[in-house]
Amino acid sequence: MDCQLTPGQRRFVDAARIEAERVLPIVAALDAGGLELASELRRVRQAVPAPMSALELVLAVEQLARASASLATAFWLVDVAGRFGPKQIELAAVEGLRRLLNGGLGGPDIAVRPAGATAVVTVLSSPIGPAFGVAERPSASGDSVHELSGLRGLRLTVTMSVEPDIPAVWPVGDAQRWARLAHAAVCVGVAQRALDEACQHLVDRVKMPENQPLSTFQGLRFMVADVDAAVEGARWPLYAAAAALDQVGDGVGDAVWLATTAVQLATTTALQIAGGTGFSPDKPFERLARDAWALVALSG
Amino acid sequence: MEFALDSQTQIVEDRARRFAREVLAPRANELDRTGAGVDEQLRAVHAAGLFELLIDRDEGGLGVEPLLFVRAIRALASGCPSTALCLCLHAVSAATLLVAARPDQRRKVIDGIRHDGAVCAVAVSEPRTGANPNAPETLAVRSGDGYLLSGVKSFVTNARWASFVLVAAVHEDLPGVSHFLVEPFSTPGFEVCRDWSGFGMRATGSDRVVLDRCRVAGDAVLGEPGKSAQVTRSRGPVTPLGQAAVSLGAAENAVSRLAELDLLAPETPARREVRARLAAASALLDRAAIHAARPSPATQRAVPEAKLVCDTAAIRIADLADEIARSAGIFGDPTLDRCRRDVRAGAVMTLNAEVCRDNIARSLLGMGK
Repeated sequence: MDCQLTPGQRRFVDAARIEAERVLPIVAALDAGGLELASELRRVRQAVPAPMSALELVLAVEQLARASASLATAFWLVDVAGRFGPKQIELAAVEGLRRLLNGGLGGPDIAVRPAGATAVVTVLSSPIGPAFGVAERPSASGDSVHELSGLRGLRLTVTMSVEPDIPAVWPVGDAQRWARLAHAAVCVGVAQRALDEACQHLVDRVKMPENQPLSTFQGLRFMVADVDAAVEGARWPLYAAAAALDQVGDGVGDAVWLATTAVQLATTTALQIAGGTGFSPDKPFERLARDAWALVALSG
Repeated sequence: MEFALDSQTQIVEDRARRFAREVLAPRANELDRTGAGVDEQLRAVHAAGLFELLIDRDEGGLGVEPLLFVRAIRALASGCPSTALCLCLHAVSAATLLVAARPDQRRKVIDGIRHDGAVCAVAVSEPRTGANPNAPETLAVRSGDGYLLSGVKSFVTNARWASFVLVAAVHEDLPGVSHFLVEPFSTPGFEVCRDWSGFGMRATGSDRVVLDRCRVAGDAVLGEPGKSAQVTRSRGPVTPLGQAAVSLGAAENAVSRLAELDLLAPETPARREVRARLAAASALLDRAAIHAARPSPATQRAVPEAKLVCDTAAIRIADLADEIARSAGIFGDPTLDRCRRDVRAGAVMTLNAEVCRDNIARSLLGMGK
C-alpha cells in the first residue's frame, strides 16, 4: 500500500492542474454564459492526456473541478461517453447525465439536457448490449422545464416529462461506475476549492476594531478542520474505489456518498465563513454552493 | 498510489481478526458488565504471538510497520475494544521505554514481555494537569542514591497488571520532566486504586495510581534527568493512530453485531452511511499509518485527520447501528450498547477531537502551534 502518486498519475494531475489554473480567470464568465464551454473543453482535452484508467480520470477531473465544476463534468461526460459509447456523442452526452449516474431510476422521467438542444435523448448501452444510438423526441407539451442554478456552464435544464418514453436501456456496469466515480471526483474538487477559499478568507480578513485575523478564532478554525476531515475522508476512498474499479469494481457507492456529503458541508461552511461577501458573485463562494446543490441533486 | 495490502499485513490482520472473533469477542460483554480486567485476554494475545508488535525484530519482536500495527489493533478491537486498547498502549509504552532504556533495562523488559507476557504502561495523566507530558505535578525528590516519587496519576491503562510503568515527574532541584521506569509489583509506595468504572472501555483497568513516596533507584530515570523530550518524542504518531484503530475496530464490532442479527440489508440511508463512514475512516487511517512510517510534512496533518475521522465516524456508526437495531425491534442489545459507550473513548483520549481540529486548522492556515 502506498499513498504517493506514481509518475504516470502525477502527469494527469499536473496537466489538469495547469489547465485548471488557465481556466480559473474565466470561470465566472463560463458560468454566466459569456463564454462557450465547448471551446474550452476542446482546449482542455488537447492539453490533458486521455486517461487510461478510472483512477487517472478521477485525478484529472478532481483538479479541473477545483476551477470549474461545469468544465470538469463536461470533461468526464465526454470521456465516459467516448469510452463506452459512440465518439460522436460529445457534449450532447450531458443529456443523459442523471440517467448515466443513476442507471435509470424509477419514478418520474427526468432528463438533463443542454439548453438549445431540442429534446435530444442520448441512449447509451453496454458495449456488449444493444447498439449505441441517439434517439430524438420532441418536447412534449406537458413537460415542465427547470433550469438548474448550479453547473451553469453546462447550460442544463431538467425536464420532468409527463409521458416517460425514454428507452430503459441505460449504461450499467462499468460505464455507470466510471460515471459515478468521475461525478464524485467533481464533488471532491469543488469541496477542496471551497475549503481553500474559506481558509484564504480566514487568513485575509480581520475582525475590527481589534484588527484581529479571523484565523485566530478557534470556532472558525474548527469549522475548516471539520471540512478538511470530510474532504480527505471522501478523497481517499474515492481513489481507492477508482483503483479497485480497474480490478474488481468495489466501493463506488461509498465514494459517491462521501463525496456528495463532503461537497455539501464544504460549500455551505465556506459560504457561512465568508459572511456577506459570500453572497457576492465577485467571490466564488455562491457559485460553489450552487454547483454543489446541482451535483448533489444529480447524484440521486 | 497502491491500495492493495502486502501479503504479510494481510496474513497478520486475518490472524488477528480470527483471534478476535474466536477468543476475544465471546467474553467482551461479560468483561464490560463486570468491569473485570482484560489481563487474561492479554495473556491469550501473548500466547497467540501478537504481543511484541512494536519491538524490533533484531530484539525478538515482530517489529511491524505502523500500517500493520493499526490493522492488527483494529482487527482485535473488532472483537474486544478494551483488550485492543490495552494491547495498543502496552505496545506503545514498551516501544517508548525501550528507546531510552539502558541495555540492561532493555534486556529485562524485552525478556519479560517475550517470555512472561509482561505488560507495560504509561503514567502521564494527572487529575489537575491532564495528559500534558510537559507539565506533571508528580514530584521526584532525591533520597540517598535514588528518588522518592509523590503524586497522583489518572487513567493509567493496564495499571492493575503492568510489570513496567513509565512515570512522568518533575524534579525538585532540576528543570524539565523525567520519565522513571517503575516496576509496581516490587516497588513500595506504588498503589493502584482499582477504582476504574468508566462509561466505556470498562475492562481496561484504567485506574488511578497514587505514588506515596514511591522509592525508585537512581538509575530508574530513562535518558538524562529532566530531558524527557527524547522519550516522549519517540512515541510519535503511533499512539493516536493506535487509539484511532481501536475506535474503528469498536465500530466494526457494532457492524458485525448487525450482521449477526441479520440487519445489514436491505440498503437504507442509515446502512449506506455506516458503510461509507467505515470506508472513509479506514482509508484515512491506512494513509496516516503509511505517512507515519516515513514522516514528512504531510504527516503533521494526516495523523490528526485520521484520528478525528476515525473517532467521529466510530461514534456515528455505533449510534446508527443501535438505531438500525431499534428500528427492527431489538432494544438494549448488550454488544451494541457496549460499542456505543466504547467508541466514545477515542474522541476524549490523547489528541482528542478538539486538539485534532486545532492541529488540522493550524496546518491548513499556516499557523504555528
